[in-house]
Amino acid sequence: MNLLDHRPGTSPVHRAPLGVKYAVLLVLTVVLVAWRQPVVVGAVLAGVLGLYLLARLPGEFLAPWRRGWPLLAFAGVARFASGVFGPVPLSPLDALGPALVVMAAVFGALAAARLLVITTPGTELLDGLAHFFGAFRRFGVNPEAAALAVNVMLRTIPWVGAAVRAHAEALASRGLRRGPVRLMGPVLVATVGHARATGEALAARGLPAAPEPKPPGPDYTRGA
Amino acid sequence: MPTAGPDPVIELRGAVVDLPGAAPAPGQGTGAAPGTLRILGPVDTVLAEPVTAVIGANGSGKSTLVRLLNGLVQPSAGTVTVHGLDTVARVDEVRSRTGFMFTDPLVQLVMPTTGEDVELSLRRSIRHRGERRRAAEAVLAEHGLAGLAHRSIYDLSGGQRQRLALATVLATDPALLVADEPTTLLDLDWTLEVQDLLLSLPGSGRCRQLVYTTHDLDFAARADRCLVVAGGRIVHDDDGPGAVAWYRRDVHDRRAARTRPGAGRQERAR
Repeated sequence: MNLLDHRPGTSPVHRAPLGVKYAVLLVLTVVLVAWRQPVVVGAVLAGVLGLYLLARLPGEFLAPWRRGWPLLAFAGVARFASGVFGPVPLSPLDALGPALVVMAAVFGALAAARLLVITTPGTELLDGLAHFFGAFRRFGVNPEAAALAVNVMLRTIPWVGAAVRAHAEALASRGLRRGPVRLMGPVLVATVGHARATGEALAARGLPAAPEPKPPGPDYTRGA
Repeated sequence: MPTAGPDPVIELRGAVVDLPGAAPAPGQGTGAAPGTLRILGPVDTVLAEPVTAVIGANGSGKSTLVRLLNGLVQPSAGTVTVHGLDTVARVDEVRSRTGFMFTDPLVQLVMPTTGEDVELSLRRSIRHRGERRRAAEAVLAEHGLAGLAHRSIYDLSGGQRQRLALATVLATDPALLVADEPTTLLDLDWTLEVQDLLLSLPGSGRCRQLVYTTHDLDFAARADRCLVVAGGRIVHDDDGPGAVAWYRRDVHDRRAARTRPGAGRQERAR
């Protein structure tokens, strides 16, 4: 199972209108970023855990940590280093607290964002995004094209992961040690190739549709 | 409806494809502009038969030729007209009347689940989400994929994926279906299944004309007309069985000529 695959369900979280989901995500993320007190971050984390329980996906709560811990560890180390070596040097013990809070806050934001993606079918995300980008129509944005681009990007992440594994296997089968530097080139080339092929396939299907003067627009405020 | 509109005739008039490139491969010529290579043409032909096959060696220009038909590749010179529409001037209309099936269905299927991918095809014609979902389920049922709407495209068998690719293409109701080696990745059972499906389309009211490339000569022989492509040109043009027989003889003659003493391998290139 991929990190961003849709997990179908009938819980209140699944049935909530997409606009509400985005509003909750926005509030949670703003609080986590702007108000980094241990108590606040702890409360928001508990809230996100509560939402996972409500969605009946308790096992998924820690998935961003299992798959993304190097990223979170890097954020923590960076905060720790800026505490110890910053303009107002802290003792290592004092710098540890803020570093843990930053890691918890980033984890909370990732988990909340992921909950939105995995409880919403792809087509509904697409409709919601198209609706959102509709506000930028006057600036020459084609909402359908913009929404499709975001969706294709989101769904390409697992593909890139698979490409990394495939190239690591190819290196191993030739008796070469796998390493990020050796993998980067071929994976980049493969990804560009995949992007071209995807673009060609979309064009062949006549997608995205040319912008229309006044489309009715999907009603994304209703549940599925 | 595909039955409306002008006659299903494809015309290529002096169609040429030049791509940037410095060193011509054996048998390749240079293009009209400096620094370009001619990978196809000039091609002059009129395709009016319901089913046309295109065969030839790897790299001969088959894929480029069929990509001209829906504007994925545009001619550097000459014109391509599909059912009365120029593929350069009216590319959007050409694409909305043309379906294209790729060798690898995973390239073509961009949404994570089966049902969502069909819905993507229907976005243009059905705006309402609930109606679109029901229409997508109907399309899946029609193609023997009922109940798989929530299945990930990665969990389908290769044959099911190619069948789904065909379903997503047909959901847009194309008048012309172009398929680039549609059976190359499939086992024998699914190869025959997809062949029968494709060949049954023209005349069933679903699409009026089918053009496909293939390395499967039995498949090519079932076409009403078959073009043999070599070195970017049409070198033989006949009905299916006739063109396949000509192609087999041509390949065997060339191989025999190569194995004779004193003959160089470069003769392989035309």
